[in-house]
Amino acid sequence: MILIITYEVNKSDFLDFHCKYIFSLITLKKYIKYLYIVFSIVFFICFTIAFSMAIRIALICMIIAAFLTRNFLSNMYKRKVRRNLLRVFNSDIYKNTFSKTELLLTEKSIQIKTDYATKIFLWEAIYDLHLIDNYLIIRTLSDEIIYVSTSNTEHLKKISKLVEVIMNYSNLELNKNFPNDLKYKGYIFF
Amino acid sequence: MILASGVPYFPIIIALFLICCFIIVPLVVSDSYKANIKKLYSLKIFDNYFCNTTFIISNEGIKTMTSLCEVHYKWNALKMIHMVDGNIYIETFMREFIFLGRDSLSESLRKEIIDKIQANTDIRVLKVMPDLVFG
Repeated sequence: MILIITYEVNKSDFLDFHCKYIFSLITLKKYIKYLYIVFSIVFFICFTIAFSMAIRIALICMIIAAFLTRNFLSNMYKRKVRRNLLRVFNSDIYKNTFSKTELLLTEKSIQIKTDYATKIFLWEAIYDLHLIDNYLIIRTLSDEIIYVSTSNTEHLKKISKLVEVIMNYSNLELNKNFPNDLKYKGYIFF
Repeated sequence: MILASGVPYFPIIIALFLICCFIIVPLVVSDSYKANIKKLYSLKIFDNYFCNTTFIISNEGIKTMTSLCEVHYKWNALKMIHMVDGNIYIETFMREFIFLGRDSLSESLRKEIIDKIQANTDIRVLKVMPDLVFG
């Protein structure tokens, strides 16, 4: 049984995909919660000093400010994340994922071949499988995440077979949500 | 207030400040660094680093083989070599590190490896640690 898929990941589509789902990451959620608490404490102190004569008005202002900062923070952070991710994807680190790759499936392993490196993963090295939108995400125990784009309709049969084979050999389940502990190389959220 | 009321305590405050700066803070910081580094390397991503590895240099590039995966880097994928206390880090531009520990290699072997890599590519050897930071 030998199966060959050649594909190429489109950069702008890849960026949109990550921006759509990035707020389900646990680390980012924690960080935004932390920022929110800090901001609200600062507002709390400011309002208590400013309206120290009328505490009712101060309380109402605090509640409004808390709601506003919540929206403001998420909006602000969406833009920042997009800019930072674009900068990382344009750098050398992601050159390998955006180049033309040839995926070869044999009975023992998955082989990935690009211009810079060929990598052969045995079945024990795979620990996670995710399928969302147009991407199949395969995570391995080495420092490498395999993104297979399924936007090309000619490959759909091959990819469904690939998923079946992987599930057979490595006893994994196919998840249909975004992995909430994904790591980006060379990018920290703060 | 403090200065006015506590003129006799002033040298004691300075002494406490110095102790805090040069003894307590470095201790706490080094401990937190150790904990963080341990946390980093216990991630699932690094399981491949601590397997039994065979390292091959051929005409086309570098090859590493473990029980989990085989990786074959071509010469154009290599970026830099870091050599610290006899440990060798070979860095690729995809931010992957091939780590050769000093316990498993003799000094002549290390020199031979670096000479062979430099004969095929024109990358530099640095004597500082690489920034091993992963998001």
